Amino acid sequence: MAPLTDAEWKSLQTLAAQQSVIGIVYAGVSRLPEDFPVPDDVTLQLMAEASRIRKRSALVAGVLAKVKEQFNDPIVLKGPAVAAFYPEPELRESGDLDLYFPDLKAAPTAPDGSSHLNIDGIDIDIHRSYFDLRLRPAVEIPSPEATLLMLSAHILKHAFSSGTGLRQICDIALAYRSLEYDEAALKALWKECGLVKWNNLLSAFIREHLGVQALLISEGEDTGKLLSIVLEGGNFGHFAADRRKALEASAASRKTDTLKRLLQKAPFGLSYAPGKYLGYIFSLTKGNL
Amino acid sequence: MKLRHDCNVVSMRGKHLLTLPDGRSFEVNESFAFLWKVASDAGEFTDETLADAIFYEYGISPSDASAEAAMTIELWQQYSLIE
Repeated sequence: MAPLTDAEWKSLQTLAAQQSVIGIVYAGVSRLPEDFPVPDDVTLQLMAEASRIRKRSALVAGVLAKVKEQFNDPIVLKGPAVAAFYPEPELRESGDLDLYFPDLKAAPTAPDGSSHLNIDGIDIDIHRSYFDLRLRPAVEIPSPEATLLMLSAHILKHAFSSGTGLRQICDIALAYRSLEYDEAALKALWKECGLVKWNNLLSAFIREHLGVQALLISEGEDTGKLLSIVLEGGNFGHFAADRRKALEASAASRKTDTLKRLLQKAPFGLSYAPGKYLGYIFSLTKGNL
Repeated sequence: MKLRHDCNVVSMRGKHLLTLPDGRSFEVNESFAFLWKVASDAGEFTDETLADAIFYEYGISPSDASAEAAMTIELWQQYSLIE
């Protein structure tokens, strides 16, 4: 591998920050041969970022332990649950905690009765369903196939709305690498949910850009469209033009911006997951009527 | 004495970084990182713990090692790195 220029290192750091994968870049740089030149300032900045990520992960783990102590058997969606698939879990950037309780009555509620809590500075969202999909049965203990479907449905929801980033795709790539799943059962789940085309595209992307053997049904997918979405906005689309402004404005502006982005992605959504795309537009507009 | 549990020294590719709970970080030298590890591994430590480590690691006289250890602890106290 040829040495990088200072500008390329800067670009790598910016991109990694936007995609929320700076912990992975840190782990990669720490494994480079000693004689591979890395600018001192880059090394120190990555170390500082890695330290911040580790502290945040420890905080999230502590809050999760507190929740588990007080409430029966929450299922952790994404976050710490997928971090476990990483070689160094504490280097996966943690956002909030997403929890699902098979028995919703056992779930904690905020003082105002809502399902959004904040414990020790960590936001906790209580989900009503294990999957980001409508009409899916309840899950007691997620199977490997259910975990893969949950992760891919989550990426899809963001891919055709606010935007998705590399961190979410790394999550499912590492889940593919870690889980022992039944190919036939997973294919059947995809088919049942009308998500064969989408998952095939996602698997092709994972194979081509991350080098992980995800389940592929047919060859020849053009992964460029998904790559454009990933590069356009980074993590959850937060870095797309004007998105930050919308996020900082009112809830109504945020929803309008999401709807605008959803409509812009109509060719993508209708091509790869038409049922889910139309269902999402329906639920978003219904919520605003 | 004990080091503050929320302060850390991380090392990579010959660089050492001291991170503080408020998010600030400082590049530190090899000997700082070495003594930090000694104190951290010891859990509870005294001037003598550091002086012994300096004596064996750097081969200087016991009196110089004691003086170095005292200076290090004074600096750590100044920066509130000790509980």
